[in-house]
Amino acid sequence: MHGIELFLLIVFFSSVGAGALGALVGLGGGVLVVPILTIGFDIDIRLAIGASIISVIATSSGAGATLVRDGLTNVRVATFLQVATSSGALCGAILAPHVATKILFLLFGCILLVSAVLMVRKVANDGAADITEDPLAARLHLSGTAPGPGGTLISYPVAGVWPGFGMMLLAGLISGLLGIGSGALKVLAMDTAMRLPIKVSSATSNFMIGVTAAASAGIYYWRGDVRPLIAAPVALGVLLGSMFGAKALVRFRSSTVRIAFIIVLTGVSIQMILKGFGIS
Amino acid sequence: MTFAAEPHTPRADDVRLARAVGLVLRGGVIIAGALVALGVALFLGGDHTGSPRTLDEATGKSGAEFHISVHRIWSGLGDGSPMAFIEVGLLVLLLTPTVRVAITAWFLAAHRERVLAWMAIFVLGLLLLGFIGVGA
Repeated sequence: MHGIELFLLIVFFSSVGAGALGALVGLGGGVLVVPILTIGFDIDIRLAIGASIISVIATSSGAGATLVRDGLTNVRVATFLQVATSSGALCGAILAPHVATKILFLLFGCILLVSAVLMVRKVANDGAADITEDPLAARLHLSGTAPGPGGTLISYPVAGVWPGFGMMLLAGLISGLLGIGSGALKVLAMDTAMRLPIKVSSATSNFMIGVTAAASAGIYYWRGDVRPLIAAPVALGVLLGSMFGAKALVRFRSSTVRIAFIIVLTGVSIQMILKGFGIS
Repeated sequence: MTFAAEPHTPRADDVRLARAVGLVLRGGVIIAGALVALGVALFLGGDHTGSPRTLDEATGKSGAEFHISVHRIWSGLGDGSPMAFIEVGLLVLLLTPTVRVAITAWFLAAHRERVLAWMAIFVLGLLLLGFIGVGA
């Protein structure tokens, strides 16, 4: 087998794994694709980010089709919050050349690490609590229903609309600055500020990250940072993996998803902090 | 208003919107995946028209210039270049979230949900600016 063929095969199977994990915990998979390409194959980070942006859209679309059908995605919440993420991503892209990347990596890594610690405390008391619906959520009909145990539909309210919107601006800003989907921050905003069920947060994050990434992907594409033989195995692998991940998400318990999310969050935060210190 | 966990019936409009959006995502993914897979299959089948010859060239390590343009993709399709099929597939993937937002905007406007419809139109504008590569 020749070099290129072997490269395509390895990147494809690595991307299947990244896509499955990404869809399962509501991340775009981009944070996993970039280290695979840069550390595993010594590829220029600009080209890795170009492929990563494509993988974020692939995860979002591949998993989104399944999750929307299964009733886990809240399309109204996504429509509302996308105003914040897209605006944030645009501002991030404009600010990007003026901010030191290493400071961003450190900041992002620290935010994620604190988030992981906060979520560990929540695993024990998932759901069950009475939540007061935000008046704006009531006006825009943002509260929804999701599949519950035994095939029943459970209604859930949406709280903290403006704090969630603010966190989404930050998520979009970081997405524009670092070229990732910022799924971790999106899940965190919906889970902690808006008090959505974790599965709904993961599914809606999956749904939204494609739009956030699409805002900047065209720029990467026309700049020539999306190389066909890097992006193709990544896109196909992540598409396949995200479909497996989305199917598994419907079957897994909320606490299992949350624990998986905490593990990934911790790993990504350490990776970000190390990058901030120039260690890869 | 306080909610308790209880069985509930989803809004009929939401079910229709979810179906339409799911259809767009599935359609976009299938078309994009098929085009990219076709390009990879042609390449693996030995057709290297307009394709990188070495791994270094494919992964940008050779330092060779890489230009992309609508004209290059179009002429590549005419020549049956595997890279052109992959590039068009990636463009379809890029457009999928944009079409999804457009469908959502149309659906919300048709159901007189004006505030959410305007929000979707605003996002659509930003996505179109990104798609044409403003700032590239």
